[in-house]
Amino acid sequence: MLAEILQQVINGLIIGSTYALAAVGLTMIFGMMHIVNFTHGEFYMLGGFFAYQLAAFLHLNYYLSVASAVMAVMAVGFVCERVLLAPLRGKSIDTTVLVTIGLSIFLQNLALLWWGPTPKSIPLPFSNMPLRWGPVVLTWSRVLAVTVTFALIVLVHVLIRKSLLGKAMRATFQEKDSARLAGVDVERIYALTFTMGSGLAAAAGALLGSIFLIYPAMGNMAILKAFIVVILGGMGNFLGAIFGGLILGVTEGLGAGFVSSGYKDAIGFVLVILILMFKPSGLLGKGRRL
Amino acid sequence: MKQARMLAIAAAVLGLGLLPLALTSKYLLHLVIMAAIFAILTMGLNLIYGYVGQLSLGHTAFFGIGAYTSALLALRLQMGFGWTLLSAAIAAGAAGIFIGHITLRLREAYFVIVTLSFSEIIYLVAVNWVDFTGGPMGLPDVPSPAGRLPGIGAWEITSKVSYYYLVMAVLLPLALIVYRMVRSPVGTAFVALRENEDLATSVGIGAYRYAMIAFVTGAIFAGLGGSLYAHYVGFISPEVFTFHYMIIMLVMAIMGGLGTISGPIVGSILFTLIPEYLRVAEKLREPIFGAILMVSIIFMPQGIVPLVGRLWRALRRRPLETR
Amino acid sequence: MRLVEVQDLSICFGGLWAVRDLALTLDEREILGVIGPNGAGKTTFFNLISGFLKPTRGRLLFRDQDITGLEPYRIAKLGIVRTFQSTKVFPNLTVLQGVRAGCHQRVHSSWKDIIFRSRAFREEDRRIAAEALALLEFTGLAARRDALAKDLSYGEQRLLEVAVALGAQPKVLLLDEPAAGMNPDETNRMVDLVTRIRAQGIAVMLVEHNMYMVMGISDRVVCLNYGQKIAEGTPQEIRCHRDVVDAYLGQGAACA
Repeated sequence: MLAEILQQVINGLIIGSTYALAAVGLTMIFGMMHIVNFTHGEFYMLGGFFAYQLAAFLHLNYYLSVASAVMAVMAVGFVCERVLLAPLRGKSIDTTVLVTIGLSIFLQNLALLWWGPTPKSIPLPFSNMPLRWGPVVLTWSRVLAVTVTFALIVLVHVLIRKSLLGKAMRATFQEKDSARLAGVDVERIYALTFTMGSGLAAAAGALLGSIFLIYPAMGNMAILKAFIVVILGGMGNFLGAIFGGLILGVTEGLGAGFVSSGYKDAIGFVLVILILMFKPSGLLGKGRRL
Repeated sequence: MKQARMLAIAAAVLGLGLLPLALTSKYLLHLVIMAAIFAILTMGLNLIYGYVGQLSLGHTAFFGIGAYTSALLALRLQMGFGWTLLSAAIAAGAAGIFIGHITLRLREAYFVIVTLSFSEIIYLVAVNWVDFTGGPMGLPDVPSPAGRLPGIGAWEITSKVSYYYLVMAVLLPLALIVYRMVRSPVGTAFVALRENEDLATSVGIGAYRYAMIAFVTGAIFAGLGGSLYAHYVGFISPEVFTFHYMIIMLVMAIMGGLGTISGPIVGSILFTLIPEYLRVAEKLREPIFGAILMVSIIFMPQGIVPLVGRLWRALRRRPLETR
Repeated sequence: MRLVEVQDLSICFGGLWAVRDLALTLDEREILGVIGPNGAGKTTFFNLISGFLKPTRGRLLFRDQDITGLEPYRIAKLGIVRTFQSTKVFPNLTVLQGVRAGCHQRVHSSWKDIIFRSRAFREEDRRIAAEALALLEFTGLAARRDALAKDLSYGEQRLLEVAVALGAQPKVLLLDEPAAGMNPDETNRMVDLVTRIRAQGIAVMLVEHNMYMVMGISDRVVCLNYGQKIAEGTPQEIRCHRDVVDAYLGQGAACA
């Protein structure tokens, strides 16, 4: 019994770290910029597909494929921000929500038409045989994903907290006009932050796509999980994203063990609803006003 | 003035009454019926989104709840249509109260996400609770509306023409209710909340209260639409809870004209008929809807009805009149 | 008759007491001026009375009824209505529609009246339309009744704010810097308006930096600094009060 619970918990932690990875980019865009970005899932998906295209068709080195895919998606993200989001900046939230929803539908169907519905897998340069470690089963791709997750999150956290750029970013998203007066190029910050966020989403898509499969609709689940993680962990709280992801993963794992596994995905939504009812600033938040 | 108005309304009602006889194709009548059902759904969405200004992405929850309630009561308990319709409205309304209570106090970004979450949860329940809901296969053979009336005995609606009149018998009173509601202090409260919530509150308009009224009324509309849909199509599946339908309703509401009375109706007609007429390949339909959503939000956020309104007023102005 | 009583009102934001142990009263037909340097807590004070902020400590009484912690719309229904420091209007509604929204309190039609458009509803509708128009006359905006609020000039929007607030039939009107950014002509119009409001039997609390206005029409003046009341009295007393001069006004020629 205990061994089973332990297994579920560890699996949950592993899955949870993938959720955290998928959520880092959204923490930046939704958590910091307060843009409800429904295109996040598609940046994630395109990261996976671009990496696939480069690795499988152009036979590019795996790591190079992932890195290039991230760059490519960042370019896409930059264009989206400048063309679609910047002009709508002052408008109410529903405007950006709907524009990003429309864009996500558009991109997803484009991917469907271009690559077709059959799932693809990215060829890996290392053996992906499962390693057994007691009750735990791991593969190298998962190890890579988890490592990259933590590395990226810590990197971004340090960037935001310590660097001058990070200060400029935080200033812009807290008090745009004061930041402007202090000499911050606000437009550039918006473009840069959004681009970074989309790049992080693409990285997640490429890495997780290496573990799982790549298909046009893969962004749908990713974005829902990502929103849950961002809310659980606290808006704009990158370390909180780790926490939120792990909590989500473990709760789902345990829940699926006791409730029917079909309802597993509902657990995250229930958590979000409960958190927003009782502690709106997230699990780690300091109770700030939203 | 008032006489001209009454005449116009009478003509419209007459026109609607004679429409099925004028239409030659059964298929066209089918489209009209679907447009009318979607008009009911979209009118409901328009109340919370168009008038109060809160974007609910969970409207499909109420549509689906209404559909499933009617289907289940008709299939399992052999209830007559009058009861299934009423129950659908009550179930959707109750869900509206529950979900509204949780979501309407949240900030808009969270309202959007949580309403969506509720739809997703209900979808998962519909898929997984196979014994109750039929699971992913759904509920087939939902009976057409039938019942037993005192004096008349048993009745059943089978033909498309009679279904048309049934849907109209629901749509028109609901449209009248919306009309009366938005042109009253209730409607003023709705738009005041949309335009400036703090200001509205400072003069005594309770935000939660009026948002609830719009939300629950919208939910009831969706429930009624769901019931009509279930009995008409004869088959429902968890698909009714998916985002696909949410997008359709949003496009109809936005393109038709948010915060207008005829907007949802115009939007429903356009976006039921146009996709059929363009004979667009199924595959391209979704991305086109997505593109339309983006374009309309950016370039035409008020929608078609106000645009036509402005054109009409511009045309009616006599050429020598100064602005 | 005592309308408003503020007892030991305090609010703390993360260690900073924005308002501390504030106590004052407002009687019928009084105009109470509230002055003080920026950051003194004047708008926070208004937010507290009108329910937009909940106090950490203290009590608020309106006509001997404890209204502490009530939601803003409830307090408005009871009779305390406020305007905002930064102009708030209903941008896409016309001036008349906006004032009608302000008149929401005056509506007593029931559900049945609305849905069935009963005679009672129609009569009330006409009555409120007339009352809204009267408010526009009162504030001098009648000529702009069909203009969209977002198209009004700054001064007109400020007047509209007052008209909308009056729609709610306040017994106490809290005006937050109504003359801010106005030229002398507009200021005079506002002064005249506030005087006429008082003549209607409405008590007014007025936060203002424009001394001409505050000293000119207030019956009493309260001076805040760092969230606390540092002086209270008639305009004459306040004008030369040492603490007020030190904190805010500076030495004027009119004082000894």
